[in-house]
Amino acid sequence: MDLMEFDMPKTTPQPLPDSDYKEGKLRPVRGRVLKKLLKYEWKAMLPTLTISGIVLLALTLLMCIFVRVDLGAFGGEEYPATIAVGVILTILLYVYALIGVIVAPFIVACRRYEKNFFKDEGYLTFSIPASMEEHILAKHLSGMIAVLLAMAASLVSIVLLDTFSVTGDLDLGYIELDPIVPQHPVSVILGAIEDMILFAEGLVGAFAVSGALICWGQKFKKKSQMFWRVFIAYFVFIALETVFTLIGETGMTDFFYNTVAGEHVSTWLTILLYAGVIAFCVWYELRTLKKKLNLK
Amino acid sequence: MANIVECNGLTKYYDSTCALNQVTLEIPENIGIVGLLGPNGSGKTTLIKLLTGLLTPSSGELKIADKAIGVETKAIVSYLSDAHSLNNDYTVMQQLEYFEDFFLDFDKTKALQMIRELGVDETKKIKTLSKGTKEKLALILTLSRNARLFILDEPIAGVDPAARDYILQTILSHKSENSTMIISTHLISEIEQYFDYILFLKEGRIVLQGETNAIKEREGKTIDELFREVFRWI
Repeated sequence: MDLMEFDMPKTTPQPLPDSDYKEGKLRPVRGRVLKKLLKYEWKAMLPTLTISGIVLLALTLLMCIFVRVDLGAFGGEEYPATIAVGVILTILLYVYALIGVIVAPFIVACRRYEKNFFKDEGYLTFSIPASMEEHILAKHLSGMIAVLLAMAASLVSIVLLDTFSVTGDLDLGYIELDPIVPQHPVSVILGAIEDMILFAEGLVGAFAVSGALICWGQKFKKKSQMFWRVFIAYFVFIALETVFTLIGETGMTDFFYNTVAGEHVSTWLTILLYAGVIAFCVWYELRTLKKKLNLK
Repeated sequence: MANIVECNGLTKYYDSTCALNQVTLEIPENIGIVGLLGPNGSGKTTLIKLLTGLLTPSSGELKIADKAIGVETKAIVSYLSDAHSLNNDYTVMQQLEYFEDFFLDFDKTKALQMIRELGVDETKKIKTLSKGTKEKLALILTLSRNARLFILDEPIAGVDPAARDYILQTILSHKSENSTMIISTHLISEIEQYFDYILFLKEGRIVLQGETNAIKEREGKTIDELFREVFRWI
């Protein structure tokens, strides 16, 4: 059968002129690739954020109603059993929702990392003209922004709850200043900076470590191989932690815990350690995706 | 004539297994359809993955349009993998927009025209399409780019004869004179009449390469017959 018998469109594509590539006319697009990658990450993240946001809002409203319930209306100081069960369940759900709203975008980001990079979709992901750095940055950045938004939503929810509270149990209306402030103002400012850096490192580190672990997991053909190595890694971690605790018991580290200067030194050492871990994880991700990628 | 593909001493190891061994080849630009032929495990897919930047060579040099493999070469190479690489969560239209966003040379009008001819509802999610339709959609998206180099990895393997005809016809009717197309396959008899240039890979090495007509004249055999002779003992 002659294949040309089919009634197919006879358009003749004309490749873009060679000069466009040679003269670099296509280069301006490169600057927008990261933006486009972020756009698609956001599109994928939005349903999760929306759903978890709606659930949190609904539970916050329900909690707001509960915290304003006038106990006297029930003729006693305790809730009737049916109301009490409802309150306990709502509080439990609310706490889970507070955690879930932050964890959900993180899980979605990790799932997308594996699906887009290491499953069949990887063939398309890595055939688009974007560098590995751009791919990784888009994944991590979108995830971090989503988690930050989720944290902000949780904070708003707690503040709302406090505003509606009539019992005064929540005590979020003021911040009690540490008595150390008048004596060591510089130390307090430095401490605030350290906390911010540690928070940022924690956020970046969570994504960098997860990315590196997903990359590491791809090395194992069998899940059991990975399981045993993770198991061993966990015991190494516990052993190291025990060693550090024992060193602490000897009093060798008292300087770091009992003096203001020591606390700052130990915090900056932790900051440096985290920075090193993040740098290593990002290097490992790049190395895996650039040199060791092997889609099946 | 300039070369669209150039490799020199290209070698790829998977742990201790050598998938490509010191491959040196040149594919001239605009030569037409290049058949990358070889039995399973001969290194065809490895060579394609190296060309598309999905793998990094263990050693050797590889260039497309005189550029080392990277972002710039990806912008001029349109690749159809043998796996289902489309995003199942997207609708057909969203997948089209994805291609339009990332590939400057993507012709959306042409893609839409081909999709409508195929009878696919653009609002449908890709995961709801049949396996055959997904493969056709991937082919349409690949061919809707005005790329300088098309690489199709086993485009007709594992599809029924009707789909095979559709795929071959789509390839032929959308093949531009200003581009080169590399098609990897082991179903030679179906497609050999369309090859302008062939490459035979055997155990990670190029054992035969050249213009199809010249080889046929020289050997006095069809490409399929020649293939069976070269790979008789595999």
